[in-house]
Amino acid sequence: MHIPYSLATSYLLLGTSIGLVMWFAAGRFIDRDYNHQVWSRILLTAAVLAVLGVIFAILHLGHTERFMNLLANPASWLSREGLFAGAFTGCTVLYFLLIKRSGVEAVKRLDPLLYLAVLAGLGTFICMGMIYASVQAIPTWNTTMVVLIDIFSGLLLGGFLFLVLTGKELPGNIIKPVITGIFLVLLVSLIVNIAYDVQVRMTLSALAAQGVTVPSLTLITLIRVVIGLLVPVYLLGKSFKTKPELAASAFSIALACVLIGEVSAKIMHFMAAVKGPLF
Amino acid sequence: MSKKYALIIDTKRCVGCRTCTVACKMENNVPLGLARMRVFNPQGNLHFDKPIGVYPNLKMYWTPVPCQHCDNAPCIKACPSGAMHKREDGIVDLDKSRCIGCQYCVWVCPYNVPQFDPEAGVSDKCNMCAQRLDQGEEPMCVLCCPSRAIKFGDLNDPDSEVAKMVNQRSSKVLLPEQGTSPTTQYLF
Repeated sequence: MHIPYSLATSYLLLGTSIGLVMWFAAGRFIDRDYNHQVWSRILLTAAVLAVLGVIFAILHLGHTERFMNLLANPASWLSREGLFAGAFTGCTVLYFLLIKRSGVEAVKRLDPLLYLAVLAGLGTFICMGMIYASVQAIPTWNTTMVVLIDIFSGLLLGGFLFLVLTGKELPGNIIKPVITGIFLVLLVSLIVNIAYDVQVRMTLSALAAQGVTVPSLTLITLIRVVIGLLVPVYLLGKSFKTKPELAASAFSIALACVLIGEVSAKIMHFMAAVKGPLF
Repeated sequence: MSKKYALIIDTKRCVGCRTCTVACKMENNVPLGLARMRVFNPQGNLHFDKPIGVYPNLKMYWTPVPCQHCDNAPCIKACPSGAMHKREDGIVDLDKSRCIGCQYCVWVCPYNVPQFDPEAGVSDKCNMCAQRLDQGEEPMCVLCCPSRAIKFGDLNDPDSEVAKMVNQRSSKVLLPEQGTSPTTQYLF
């Protein structure tokens, strides 16, 4: 299958935005009384990424001017994803605009909007994964692990971006639990991704035995696991012991590695989309 | 009882001439590079036909694959715009004026029937020549098949030729394990 680059870019942007909002919500949950300009910066980044994600998703369509038709069939996972992604983007942009208008002190008062954004984001993640997990015709996609992979992908990208944007400024009582949370997500993601890679390989081998031409995914899997997951595990693990200034640069490198890994994962996802034989 | 139009393909009669493919392209103005009716050879390819087996026990057969007009069509469930729909007569049709070109139908169809037309920005698929049926004519592939391998009719009408053929001979559907309940059936 050819790789739909605008769609893949849209998933990365939207996923990062949702992840960022989720970690922001986690930060807010840890210390609800903490107000700082850094929150405004995070929300601006999340809003810009979400809007860009929606734009790239629309650019994927053959008829961009008919994009509203996307919402016409609630039984379709794609329609549901459109609804949730629209709700998430709307809530995030509105949240940012209201904070911009009322000042960062209003962040506590506007928390319900944040919870709505988080719920819409979670819905977007689930629908995004189910679009693929429900495709029975493509056996490598037809697994709920695809949903988990999408959720972890967004949480990792958003998490490391959160650390890069806030790492030096947030107080220890917020940043330390967040780093621990991201580290745990990274470890679980590593396990889920390795399990999924094994499953994909077994499925592709079975298809190859039926005479179907299957792609070689060894290199892209290596990039995905080693650069995208193992290097960030090492860097984040090390950051627990280093000074905050050094940790900040480690976060930037880890974010770059996670981004490379997630781009590889998206390419692998579409490369592995092989249908079984007709006869 | 409502109608349930279906194409019944007699693989014993098909000679692999691909007249159906050409006739369909001409009738429906199918774009270059796409085909609504694909005729596969024993190797599962569309070109370079060659027999299977070892001389003198050689075998040659073809399998024409139009839309399977499934009762449980995954493309209809997946289509976010509602452009893919099932008509009352059982035909799975695509309303190109509603299609947004998301290509989700291309992914979900196990038969690779919907194809994306990059020029028009929409999907394209067999609709059993619905425009001809509405005027009381049969699909172009049925009309033009020189060996009469493709039959068309109402499966819900027990007196129709297709209903009798399906009842009298062993028929199969493609990929029954996918659970799509195709109405297009193959006689062997």
